[in-house]
Amino acid sequence: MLVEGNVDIRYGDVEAPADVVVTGDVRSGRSVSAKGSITIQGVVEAATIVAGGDVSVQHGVAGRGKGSISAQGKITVGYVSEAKLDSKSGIVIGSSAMNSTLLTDGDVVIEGEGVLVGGVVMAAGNLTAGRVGHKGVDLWEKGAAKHIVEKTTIMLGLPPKLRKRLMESRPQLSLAEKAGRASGRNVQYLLSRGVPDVDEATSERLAFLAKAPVSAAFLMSKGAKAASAVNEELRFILADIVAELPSPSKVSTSEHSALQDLGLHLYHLFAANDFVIDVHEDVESLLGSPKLNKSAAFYARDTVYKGVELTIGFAELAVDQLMGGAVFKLAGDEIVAEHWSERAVGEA
Amino acid sequence: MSNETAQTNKQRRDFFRREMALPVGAKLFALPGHTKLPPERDLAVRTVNLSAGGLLLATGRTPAAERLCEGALIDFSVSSFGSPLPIRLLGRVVRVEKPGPDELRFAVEFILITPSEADTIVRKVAL
Repeated sequence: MLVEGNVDIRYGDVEAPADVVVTGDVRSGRSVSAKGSITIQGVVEAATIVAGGDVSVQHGVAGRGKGSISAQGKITVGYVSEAKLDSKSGIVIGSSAMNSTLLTDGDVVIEGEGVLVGGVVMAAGNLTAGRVGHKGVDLWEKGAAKHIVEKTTIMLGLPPKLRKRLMESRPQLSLAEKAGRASGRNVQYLLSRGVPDVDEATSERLAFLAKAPVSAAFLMSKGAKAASAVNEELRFILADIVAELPSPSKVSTSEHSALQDLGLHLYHLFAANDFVIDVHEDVESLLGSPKLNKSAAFYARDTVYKGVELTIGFAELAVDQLMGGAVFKLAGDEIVAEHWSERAVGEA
Repeated sequence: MSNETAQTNKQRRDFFRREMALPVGAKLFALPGHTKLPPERDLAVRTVNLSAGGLLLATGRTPAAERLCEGALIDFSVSSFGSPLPIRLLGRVVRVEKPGPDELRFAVEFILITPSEADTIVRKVAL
């Protein structure tokens, strides 16, 4: 389908069963949807674009906080400002992205000067850009209004849907993970003092299991099966311990109270693990089998300003000083920054 | 009076019990003697009464419920106590009742419970 000129209030909205080409702009309040690809030769304003294939906007997107593009394929735009781009395959931006939300299961590439200022990037793959962030943090500290330029937040290594779901669950997950760590420490402490009725082999095994409570990171790297196996082993040992315990209403000997304490902390460790596994299974049922992309990286060709917040997988880094060209990637559970070089990009 | 009966009566006296239908999640945790657990461990239960020491559960005569016997362990999850995470309580079946052809009842004592969890239940029961 060919639309010669603008999609505006006179033309009305566009809905097409195949590809669409618009030779002009898509004006505010309008929508263009197509089962195939959409090509817009002008500008997309505060409009809605939905495509079953790729979307290409030759000029750019000036979304005024309401513009959005959603594509099952790749999104390619000249620039984007105050808009949301959501693509399954990847996002390519010609020059700059300002105060926008960029979501993709693939990579985000900002070509040219590669300016990324304000907003959120959530990608399962890599981000490649030139100048990232702004001097706003220094200006804020001097009293400038925060609404002029937003914070720049980059989250890589997980599909956006999964990231959002985990962020929603994050407060409870954090509590469960914290409870698991505390219970694990208590179990290790009690075992180190010795608990009558717990043999050496069981004690060693429990200490091992207590050292690594299940966390979201554990699940993403080792998988749900490994986590469930850990908790099944805990359940099995705990059932043995509880079988030795008298009714709580009976008078306990000191021997039993040590076993009771161990049982209680083991049970809390089990419950915390179980909660984290349940959330993960809930996410899996929504999204299939999400996996952490450990090789996701942030390539900043030119400059990264203080105040940029970066998350890769579950590791977080707040950039606290002006940096030159750098490559940020995961090393174990931490983000490390290396000097930018074409070689580093080539190797990736 | 046998020791066990005396003990049961003592427990009955120890905690104030209140009839209430509390929404709880219940999962079979273990059967005595490491009997193999069924793949489906969720139990569809309703609470008949509750105390800080335990609760009385009612269920239909489902295959999972039919397997419950004295000594079986049940893993409870209670979300309605206002805590940010569900409260988890491990209980042991101390008595099985069959009040009718379609119903089973299980008296369960909490075997692993912290003083603060017991206090939360006491306050719930007292309200």
